[in-house]
Amino acid sequence: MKPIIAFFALMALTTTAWAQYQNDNKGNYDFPSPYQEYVTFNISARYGVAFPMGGTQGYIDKVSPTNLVLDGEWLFPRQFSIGIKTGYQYNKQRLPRQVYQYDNQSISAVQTRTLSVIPAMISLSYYFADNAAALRPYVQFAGGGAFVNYTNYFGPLADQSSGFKGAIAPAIGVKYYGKREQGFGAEFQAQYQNVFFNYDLLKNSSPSLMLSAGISYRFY
Amino acid sequence: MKMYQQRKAGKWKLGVVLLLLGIGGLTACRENAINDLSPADSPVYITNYDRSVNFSQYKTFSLPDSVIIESNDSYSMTQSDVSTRFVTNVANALTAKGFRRVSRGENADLGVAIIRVNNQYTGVASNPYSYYSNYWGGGFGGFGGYGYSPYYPSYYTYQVTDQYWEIQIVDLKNRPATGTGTTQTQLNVVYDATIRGTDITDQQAVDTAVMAIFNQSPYLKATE
Repeated sequence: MKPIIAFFALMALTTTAWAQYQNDNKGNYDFPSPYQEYVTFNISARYGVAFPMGGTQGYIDKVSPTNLVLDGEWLFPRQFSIGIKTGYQYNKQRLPRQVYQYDNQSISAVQTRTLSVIPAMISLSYYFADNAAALRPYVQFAGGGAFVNYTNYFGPLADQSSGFKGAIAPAIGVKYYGKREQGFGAEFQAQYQNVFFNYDLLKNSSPSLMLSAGISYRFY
Repeated sequence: MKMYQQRKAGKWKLGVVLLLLGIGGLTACRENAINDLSPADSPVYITNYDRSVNFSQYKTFSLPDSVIIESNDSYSMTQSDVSTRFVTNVANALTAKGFRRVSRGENADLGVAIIRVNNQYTGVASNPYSYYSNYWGGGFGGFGGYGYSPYYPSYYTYQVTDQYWEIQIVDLKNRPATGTGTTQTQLNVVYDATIRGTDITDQQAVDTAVMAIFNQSPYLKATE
């Protein structure tokens, strides 16, 4: 439940901030900014925490504190962007000794469950403010694939499956640069990600909700 | 405008380098996932049994005082502190489950074997990149004597050691009639337990292992 509340809270906050911002950020500039005339760029690096959902919870049901998101975007004058998205997501959970049934065998072991995901996605974003604006809330849809590594250790013995699987990741977020045309800024994002990976204890697919924050830099 | 282009290219390259560094650094996490595993948490106890067998039909078992060392295809016997502890603990555990141990040579319903598996596999593989002769490090054993010329493949041998303990129980009660001539009698293994994950080297570990194994095998009992 907590991830869903966090998701809506972030959505509400970004929407109100955007509404206020719209009132005092129009028509103050005689010359258009290069950001509004040309294709410009934005890169972002963020740290995130991820909440496992759905099938992922059957394997690891603990919040992941180790996530990195890297975004590169081409900003088009009409408030949309096309980008590439990658990063590294890792989660680990150790379970106390338990007896597991596999086929006819009873296996008593301390399991260390790990899951790592390296996404490789194309993103499409729509911004609710122009490219030079100080505050830029956005919605984003990313799709592509992810390299998944599922390694479940029984004691020191590993049961492993890995592969490149399809993945989608819709997200909402906000970039805040402090003032118009400034390069460096901060970025917050809430992203729902679903990787179509399943193996053994991880059934159906592997969704998660990630909240990330970090730095953003736009340039031309 | 051209200058802008060049500046852009430079920044993207920097971005890519940072990206790779970041991923490289974080990928290291997974390698450490089991570094903090304590010795008590390392062993993996695997048990299996014949589902068609009702263990209450057996009353007695025979268990020699020594353990079998199985090394590839050869077998020998041994006795050590650890092996003696194994024998005592297994005998006690089976007695606690209602079976009676018989003296050596007497007829028994079940035969219990404690086996120390000590297998070594040696393999030969070709190494097409002989320039990188030490690439795989010391863990794979020495490289073969073939030359380091890049035009010929060189060969290296590797050795894998597989050491673990195994407890097997065979059915002596319903054994087939003694084989004739060269045919050997095959005994049915009705129960099997192996200890993997880490090697058992002290008596404390033996106690833990035998207890865990018999606790997860509630079907092993002499009475209904």
